[in-house]
Amino acid sequence: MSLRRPFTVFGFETTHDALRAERALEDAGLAAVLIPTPKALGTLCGLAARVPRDVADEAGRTLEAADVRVSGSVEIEDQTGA
Amino acid sequence: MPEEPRILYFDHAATSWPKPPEVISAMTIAMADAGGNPGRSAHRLALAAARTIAGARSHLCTLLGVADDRNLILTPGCTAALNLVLKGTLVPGDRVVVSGVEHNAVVRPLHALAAIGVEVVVASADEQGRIDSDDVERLVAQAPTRAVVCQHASNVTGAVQPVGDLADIAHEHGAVMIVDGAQGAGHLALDLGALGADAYACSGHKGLLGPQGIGVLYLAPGFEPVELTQGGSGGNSGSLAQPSERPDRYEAGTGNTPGAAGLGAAAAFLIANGADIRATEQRLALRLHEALAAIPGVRVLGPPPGEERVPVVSVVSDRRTPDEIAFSLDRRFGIAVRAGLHCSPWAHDAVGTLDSGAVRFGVGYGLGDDDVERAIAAMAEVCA
Repeated sequence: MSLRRPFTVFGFETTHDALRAERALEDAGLAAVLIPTPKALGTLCGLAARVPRDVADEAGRTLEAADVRVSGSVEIEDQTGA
Repeated sequence: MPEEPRILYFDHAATSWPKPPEVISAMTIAMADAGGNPGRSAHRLALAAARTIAGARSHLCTLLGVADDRNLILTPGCTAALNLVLKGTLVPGDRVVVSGVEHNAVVRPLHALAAIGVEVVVASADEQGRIDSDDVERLVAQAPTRAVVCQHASNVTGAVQPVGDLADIAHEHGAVMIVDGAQGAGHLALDLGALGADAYACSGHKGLLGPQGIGVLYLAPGFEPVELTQGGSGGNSGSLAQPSERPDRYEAGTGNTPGAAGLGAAAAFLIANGADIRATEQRLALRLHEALAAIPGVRVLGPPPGEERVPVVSVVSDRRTPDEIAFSLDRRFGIAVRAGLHCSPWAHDAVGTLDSGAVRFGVGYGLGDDDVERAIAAMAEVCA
């Protein structure tokens, strides 16, 4: 049986922003994980930040407050179990 | 066989040594535990490398007074940083005013730029190696000028230049201010956000106490030199264009993770200990300056004791040549100094030592009062 868990994934303008996002989300107590950028974000390279969908709004506000340059976000159903 | 004396290292103006143990430890850990490619993958070793560089950048920003870490670019060194900002800013037809005591890290890129049509105008300095701000203002006012370039401090005379005032002059006339901070960073308390420079280049391995092979370029918000290097950035790989965002725009290719780890650890060390280190350096350099000046036939270059200087004490003797003095100090006394022109023929020309060169004592972290007294006694014997 596969577990399909809902996440929101944020993509970034630069790898530097991805690292800045990780720090900001960690400081805010949000469970973020840096992952390879999924194709749904329009690029096949770089780092993206995955957060549980139920904290996506708060994560978005946190990233904006931290002046992180977000290139976009997508919702995914993770089946990797990671 | 007689035991070799402990080396007394007075070549800090070239490269600081020894390094704080934290620097060596951080580099070892980076190579052992953060060995992935920074920013290129999401596996744990790559992320560890990326976090290492991000942490180093953060420490450097705290130390140097940079509010937004995107404005702090990591480079292969101060020379590379200066080449980036000079060649990324000046184009044929531009005019640049440069101080007459610059190091070859500035002089040679400008010489190359002059060959393609950049007008290079040289401002005068006095016989102590101090820049004449009035002359800079006169030259900048003569014609539209793209940039003013000046060192923060001299690696020959120790003179601290009025770069804040020069930045005001540059901005009043629509020019940008570019500062070679090779001898300033670490030896002077810095607040780059308040200094007024549009670009400030630092060496990682001198007063910042980091390893060789890494440097820093601060770029003020809104100042956008063209990048000299394009390549992989870890993101948006489908685009043919180099990213336009900092710092990635200026950091194409794999970052120097061990170097950044060492430099970041050094920055953290200086945040905690820098004020004490600077006070010690100043006390030792002043003692050395006054004592060497008292040796018959010895002349100390640069501003007199009491004037603001970085801890560099360069001397000439009318009894021994600089090469003889440096060789004797090393072989007979275990004292490491640097003889010659110090890659700064313009500075030597200003102070009258272009033909002879000089012997430079670069004071820094790790030296103590006893070391300075031994150096003074050795110089008195060598120059007798």
